[in-house]
Amino acid sequence: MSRNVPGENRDHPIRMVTVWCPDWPVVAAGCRPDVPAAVLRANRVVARTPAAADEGIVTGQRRRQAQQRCPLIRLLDDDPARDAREFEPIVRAVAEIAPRVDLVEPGWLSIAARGPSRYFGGDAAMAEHLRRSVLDVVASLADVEAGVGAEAEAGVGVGVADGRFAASVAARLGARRREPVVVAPGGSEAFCAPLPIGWLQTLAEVDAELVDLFGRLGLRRLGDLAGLDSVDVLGRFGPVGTHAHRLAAGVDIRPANTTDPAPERRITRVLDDPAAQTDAVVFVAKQLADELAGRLGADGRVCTRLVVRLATEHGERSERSWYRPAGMSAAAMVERVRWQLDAWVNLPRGSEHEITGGVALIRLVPEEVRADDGVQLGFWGGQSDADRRAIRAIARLTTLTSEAAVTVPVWNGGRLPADRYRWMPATLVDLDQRERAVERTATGADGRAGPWPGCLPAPSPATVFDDPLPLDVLDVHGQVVRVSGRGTVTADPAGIRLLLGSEAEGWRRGPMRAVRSWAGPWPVDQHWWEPDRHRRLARFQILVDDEKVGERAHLVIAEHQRWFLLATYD
Amino acid sequence: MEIAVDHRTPLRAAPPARTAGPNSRRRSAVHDEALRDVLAELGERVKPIALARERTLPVAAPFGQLLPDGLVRGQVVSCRGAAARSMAFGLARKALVEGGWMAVVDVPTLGTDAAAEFGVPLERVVRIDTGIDADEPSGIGLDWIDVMGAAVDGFDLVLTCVPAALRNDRRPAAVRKLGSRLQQKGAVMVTLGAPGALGGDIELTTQRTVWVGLGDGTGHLHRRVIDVEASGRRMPGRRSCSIQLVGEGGRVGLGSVSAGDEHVPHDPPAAVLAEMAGTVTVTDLNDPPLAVG
Repeated sequence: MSRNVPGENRDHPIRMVTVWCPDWPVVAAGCRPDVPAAVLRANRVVARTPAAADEGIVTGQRRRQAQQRCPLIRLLDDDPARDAREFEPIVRAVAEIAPRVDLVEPGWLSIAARGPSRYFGGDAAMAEHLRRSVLDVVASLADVEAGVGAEAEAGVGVGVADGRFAASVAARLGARRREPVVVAPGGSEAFCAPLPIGWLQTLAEVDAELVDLFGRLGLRRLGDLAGLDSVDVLGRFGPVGTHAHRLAAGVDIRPANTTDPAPERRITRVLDDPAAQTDAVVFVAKQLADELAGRLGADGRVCTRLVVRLATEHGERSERSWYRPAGMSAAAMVERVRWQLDAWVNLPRGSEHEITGGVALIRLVPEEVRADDGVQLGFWGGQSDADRRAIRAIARLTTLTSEAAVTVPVWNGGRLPADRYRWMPATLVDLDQRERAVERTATGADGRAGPWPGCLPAPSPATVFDDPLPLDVLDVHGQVVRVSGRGTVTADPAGIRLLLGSEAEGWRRGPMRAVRSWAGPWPVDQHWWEPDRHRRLARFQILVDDEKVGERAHLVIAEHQRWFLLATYD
Repeated sequence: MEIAVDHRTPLRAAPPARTAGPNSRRRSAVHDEALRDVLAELGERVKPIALARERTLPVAAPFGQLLPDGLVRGQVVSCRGAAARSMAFGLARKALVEGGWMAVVDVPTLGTDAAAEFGVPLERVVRIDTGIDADEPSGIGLDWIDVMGAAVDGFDLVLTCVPAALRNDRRPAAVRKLGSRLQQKGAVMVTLGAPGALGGDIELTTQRTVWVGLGDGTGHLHRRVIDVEASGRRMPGRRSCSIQLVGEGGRVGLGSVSAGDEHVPHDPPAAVLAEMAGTVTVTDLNDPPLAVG
């Protein structure tokens, strides 16, 4: 293991090479770089092609914004398994020059630089070789998937620096510059200092809230943070702050609380009956992961680097090392086993280590564990426990019913009760930032009197019928009351009678209810500039006798020479 | 866990009055006060279990008279009568404002605007429509039970109309299971109309409604006084009170009714009437009439 290289000093970070494929999900999906396309996760753009980037699509945009910027864009669903599967050839290409590859996520891996660098005669030569070989693989992937022979424009970033963090930053800069970025030994701190603090979040080392806090405290560059005293940082921000401080200072050594786990931590399961199905292997892996995470958790530890080793009955092996700075839960471990297995199963025929038999051995080896600092839940704002529970329940309800059946309200605006809020499928909206969507003032309206003059004052009806119910409004002589075009009634309403049934079968008349008092008409003539949506109607509030509850108030409209019950105040 | 507690007898009785001089009585009163506080604190600390009535959701002011313990988790509260929905919004408001979530199952005619006026935070309201017709007597409503089961798992309040198939006293096994799930997860179910097979724990009924503000072709609905009665198998006796709901500036204010409130003549401000007439456009005399017989 690279950590045990002789002569390594714990005070100096290991020299690392990072390979970074920008926007890997779209590359994995086989999109040509010259076609605008984007991959969405939870309704937000996570990756896009260079052509889409030129159109103004940026990561984090919502579906609608992306479509607005570029109507022709091809939107793809996120599929982590596909990303991992397609990344396998690149992992193999890199594994040819280095024994141990650390996968952070599909599209992002790092290796120790020392050995390969010596072999190729320097960091720069090694990085250039690595870049070319990965580019070849990406090009061939595009060739197979999209039928183009052109060199992938997406580019591949290779960065060499002391420490994984600096190397990852260098790789991302390298992808932009289209050449490897090599930071001189010992130069990580100077390299990091002028960079914006947001890199900590980009590389998933620190959460967005802490980065935001740093920004508000005036620490806008990594150098600003590195300049602080580490004791003060620990006192103010706790272990997470210390971690950020250490990264910013380019001292990306493992924190002191990581230890080499004892060998008995590794968990192996030999299957007497080799599993030929992916699901069966994943099922066993889940048991192992639960056991491992449980054992580590009992000691208050969490695994940050996990080696997954799989072997078949015919002796083929697959071994990958997975790294996750935030630590892996049992579910995260299982996900990585699934990625690795998918990639292995989908190797092209005739390649080395091709899988030919059922999986007979599964081994999970925690290579690096650290004390579990836990995750501090938000105190003000953020997601509460109730929010998370509800969001999970919404996902469950969506699978139970359908996407269109689980809806949340969004302020729409309008003069009629049914228009004022729209119910949108919950899967299409951001449940985290719901306040703005339902806020009437969010649309620039100043409360109720804002852009909707002519709507009825509070209270509003609590029962609003989707399809207004036809009814008769009669005067004292039993004649239907008429409303003229100028908004006057021919007679005072004296009674109402619901019409049941349907127009085709003929209306059946409901019981007559006497009108106690009424008000109106309040005319609405809206959307007259748009023939399809033009509505011209008059609203009435009518209070009628009810034998059970005394009196009942209704909102009634006259439209197209007919009367309808729109809503009831109950 | 739920324990039968007699709500009528106070858990800690007031200390007996002593006969002594005024000075010493004052001192002993202060002493008693301090002692009582200490004992109360001690009692809280050594209390072995959480009583059912302590696992509650808070309820806003006028409903507090009816439900002094708030909404007890795991119970079924049914709102009936002419102001059922308004009562349901009023009950739900405080719990939602404090961060709870509400699922609305199979109430497609929900007046969203009315809920917003009661102060219900709509960002934590989710509507689920199972697609069955609530008034259709056929079908046992299994979809509804599945959906309700998932909803009580994740939401603090579940507002629903019980399907017609379950509006009788028979309790199928699935409904009993739903009831125990409700108890276990600690949600509160609020039904509009009869609780049917769910077996309501508390029933809030509107006995009488009086609307104020509407004249003979004039005014607009403005204020309402409802008489609400609370009863049910989890309530000792019956409680009732009058609640006043006043619409004002896009909000509905809830308040108790004091004597003499009911017959104040309502004169809507000219601004409101002018605003309501705001969309009157100059229409042609030859325009077709809006309604004819």
